[in-house]
Amino acid sequence: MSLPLLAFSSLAAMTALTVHRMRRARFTPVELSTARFFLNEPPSESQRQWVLCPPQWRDRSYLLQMATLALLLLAVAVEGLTTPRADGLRVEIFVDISGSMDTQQDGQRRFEMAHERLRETLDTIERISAEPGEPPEVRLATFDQDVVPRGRATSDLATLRKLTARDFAPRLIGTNLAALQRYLNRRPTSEDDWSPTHVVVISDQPVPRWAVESQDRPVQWLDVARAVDSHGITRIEPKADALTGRLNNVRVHLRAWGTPPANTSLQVTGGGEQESAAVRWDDDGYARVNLEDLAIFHSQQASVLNLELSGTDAWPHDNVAAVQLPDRSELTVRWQVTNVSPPELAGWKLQGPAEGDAVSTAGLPSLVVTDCAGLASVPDHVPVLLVGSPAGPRDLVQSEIEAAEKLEWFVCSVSDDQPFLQDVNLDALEREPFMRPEFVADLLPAFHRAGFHHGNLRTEDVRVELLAFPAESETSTASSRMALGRINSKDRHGRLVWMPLLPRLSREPGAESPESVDANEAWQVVFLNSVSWLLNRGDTQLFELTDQTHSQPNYDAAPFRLPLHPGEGDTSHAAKHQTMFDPSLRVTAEQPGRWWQLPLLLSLIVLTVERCLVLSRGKG
Amino acid sequence: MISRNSLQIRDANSLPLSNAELQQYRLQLDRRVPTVPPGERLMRKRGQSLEFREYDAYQPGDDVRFIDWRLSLSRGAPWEMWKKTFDTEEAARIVVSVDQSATLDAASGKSTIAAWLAEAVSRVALLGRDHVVLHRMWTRGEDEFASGTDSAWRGRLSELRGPAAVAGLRDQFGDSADAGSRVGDSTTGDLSSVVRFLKPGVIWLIVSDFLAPPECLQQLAASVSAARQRRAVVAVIELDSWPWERARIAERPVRVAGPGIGLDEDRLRFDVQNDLLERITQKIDANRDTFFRRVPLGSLRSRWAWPVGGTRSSQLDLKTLFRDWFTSDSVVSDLLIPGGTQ
Repeated sequence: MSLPLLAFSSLAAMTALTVHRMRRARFTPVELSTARFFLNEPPSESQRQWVLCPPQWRDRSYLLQMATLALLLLAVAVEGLTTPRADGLRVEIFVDISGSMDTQQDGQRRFEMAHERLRETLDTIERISAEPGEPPEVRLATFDQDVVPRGRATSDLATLRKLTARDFAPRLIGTNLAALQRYLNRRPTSEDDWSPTHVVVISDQPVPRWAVESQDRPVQWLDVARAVDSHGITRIEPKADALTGRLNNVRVHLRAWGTPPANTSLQVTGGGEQESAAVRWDDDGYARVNLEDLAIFHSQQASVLNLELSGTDAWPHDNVAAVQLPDRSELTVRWQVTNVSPPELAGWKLQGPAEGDAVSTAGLPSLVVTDCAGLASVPDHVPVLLVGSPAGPRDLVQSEIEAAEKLEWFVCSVSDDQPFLQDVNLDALEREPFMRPEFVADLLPAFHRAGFHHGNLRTEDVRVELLAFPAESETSTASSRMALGRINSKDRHGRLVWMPLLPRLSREPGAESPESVDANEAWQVVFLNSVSWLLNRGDTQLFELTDQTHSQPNYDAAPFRLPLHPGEGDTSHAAKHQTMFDPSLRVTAEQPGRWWQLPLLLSLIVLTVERCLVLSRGKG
Repeated sequence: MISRNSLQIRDANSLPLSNAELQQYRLQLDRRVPTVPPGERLMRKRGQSLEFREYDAYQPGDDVRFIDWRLSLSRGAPWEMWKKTFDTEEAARIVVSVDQSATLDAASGKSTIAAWLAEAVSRVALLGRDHVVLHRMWTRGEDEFASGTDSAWRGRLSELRGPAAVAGLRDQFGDSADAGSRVGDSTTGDLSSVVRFLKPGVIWLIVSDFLAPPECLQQLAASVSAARQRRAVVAVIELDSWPWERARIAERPVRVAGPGIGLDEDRLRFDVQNDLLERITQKIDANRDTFFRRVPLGSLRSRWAWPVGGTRSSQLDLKTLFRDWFTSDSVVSDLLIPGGTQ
């Protein structure tokens, strides 16, 4: 019982006793032998049964009764404050099942150590449940990137004891403690209104500050990690040509925690070939390997390079990776030739509505390059490259595109002279993971499929979104129009410009640096690459490493890459071990006491005196 | 039906009169039965009964059945014969009916006064070798649950003989507060069992508050008339506590409880005024007249009225009241005369 409730109860009881003592029956009961002669007499018209008299403070019995009640409540309050109870104890245990829990330390995995901590925690809870009171309830949950409850809360600890260390296996790579914090701070829903009073976290991550400073409920953080030596690949960095997208180099970043291993090498295999690169660790435990220094990287035979770091360590999952190289059959464009229009360089004879002639398509895929005005004359099911729309995609989508269901692809630019490209840093043409939140939330479900790529250009006041659709994409018409409409409706400045993604492009050997090209020519390169993509000589994936669900290289995963979780495999942090489930978590007083017996004894004495007084008065 | 069921009497409520005081009285028979025909009148004289008196010389003409042959052969001359003589049946009988209605159990102590009166009269009679029939009037019979109907109500009787019965007399009385064994308001008391004791010359003393339902009082009046036709002597002592109860409730809000009121009767709340008290008084008198109008008793009727002073029962000195009433009451003085035991 809480203290406010006790205080309220005491006040209510004393008030009730006072009112009871002040109350007097208005009609005095009288026993008469002639009572039955009153039966048919009209009773009193007054309905008032009781009258309140002034309190009789001289009534010793009343005062002693009040004192007895006050002492009794005091005893209950003191007992509730000083006696440990298991009433209402609800413990939720979170076990970290991220990939790092697979780390070997002291001859066993961290999962096994976590299982020992779990068992010790259950021992402590079971010791509490042996005391009188409501048995504690325990719920088990696991977490990595997210929190996954395992079953409902139960008082049957034997069921939880049946769990073994093998029942815990890594699900994802990476530990998201923010997700755990959000889960603990969530508002209970009607479906799951079970809220823990105590939280126990078993993890190999250092205790975060929010867990230490938790005021609502104590968080017992059990860190099972110890510093052990480990090393692995932390990042793979592509180095591509800023303008053409040509992959020049792949830089592999390595990190060693603890003592760096000696004679470490990076084994690179691919295309039936194998090559080894020595790893030289610096004093801080960092190392880098440039694949461009290896002959196998330049070999046209290898499309996928498998990387493996030699030596065994505590967490072996970051010792392997894979790099998928782009298709080497690249389009060659003499983009610096200004007298030749880019379509012609690509093998096309541009023949738009201005000339009025049909495009020569001998030996080439059918493609019509036109503007909005020429859409109507394009035959059905013929791919269209739309250029020169001055109105932008919004008008395009809402007018011409909706009217022309046959339109399959489109490129929009603000004008033919491309003023937005004048200040563009073409280095930004490097492909980047497209992780804008609004795009992920709104468009990824629609466009997240193989062959769909993103990139962007950024300037101070102009943003150019590059969006490409695969030729075989089923979302090429309706879904793409919907997506464009949504994106433009969200762009408050209306400055989105859409064009096919720069797929791959290489310059002729010895050509000038792309940084020297002027903006107009750069746009032409972009245009040509768009044409190249439309010819279904599309992009190839630069590389991929691992994703959230596969610690091993996965060639079927989505093309966008995820960085290794920082700290995953980092076994160098000093573990801060805490004692096991502290019994003081369940009490509000440090030392359970017996002081409640004193007011109880006094109340009994006062009550005895009061009863003796009443009896003696009755006899008198 | 003669019942040996006895009531427990508390020592605190023991009879305020000692045996020495009671031995000064004896039942007065001669004045009360002047019209008894010869042969029916009870007298104390020598006669034929089962009680041996003395030996006497046999005279010719005496009944040879009373010759004591053993004594005649062992004593005197062979021609002398001795015979036994016996006392004549000369004991008087008094029937004391004590009202056992629940109305006597009220705080006024009427049941105690009634028990004391019955015990005192019985002691006088038993000490004078007279017979006493104690009648607990208007109480339940042993077969009270046999039928569950009102006809199951009947009186209880106890017959006591001789001075030896004085020792057990106190067990016959008590201030039983067993209200459940009392006559209910809607019940007609069955007095047929007591009427058969009311032979000529028998004294029937009725002690009651006459607050029983009219049906009971009518039945009692009929029984009294029948007894008087059989030449029994009927005397009535009425216990009247209404003046004292009236003084208790005057001018104050009261919730009335008592016999005849159901446990759930919650409407008997009154702001007592004089007009209410007057109406109640009239109701009580009318109820009482149900009996006395049918049976005029003359001097053999007296009323013991509770004094008005003292509104609590604990303030009533019942022993003093009883002594005063017993020694000064006209009915008592008519029934009991000073003279002591022969």
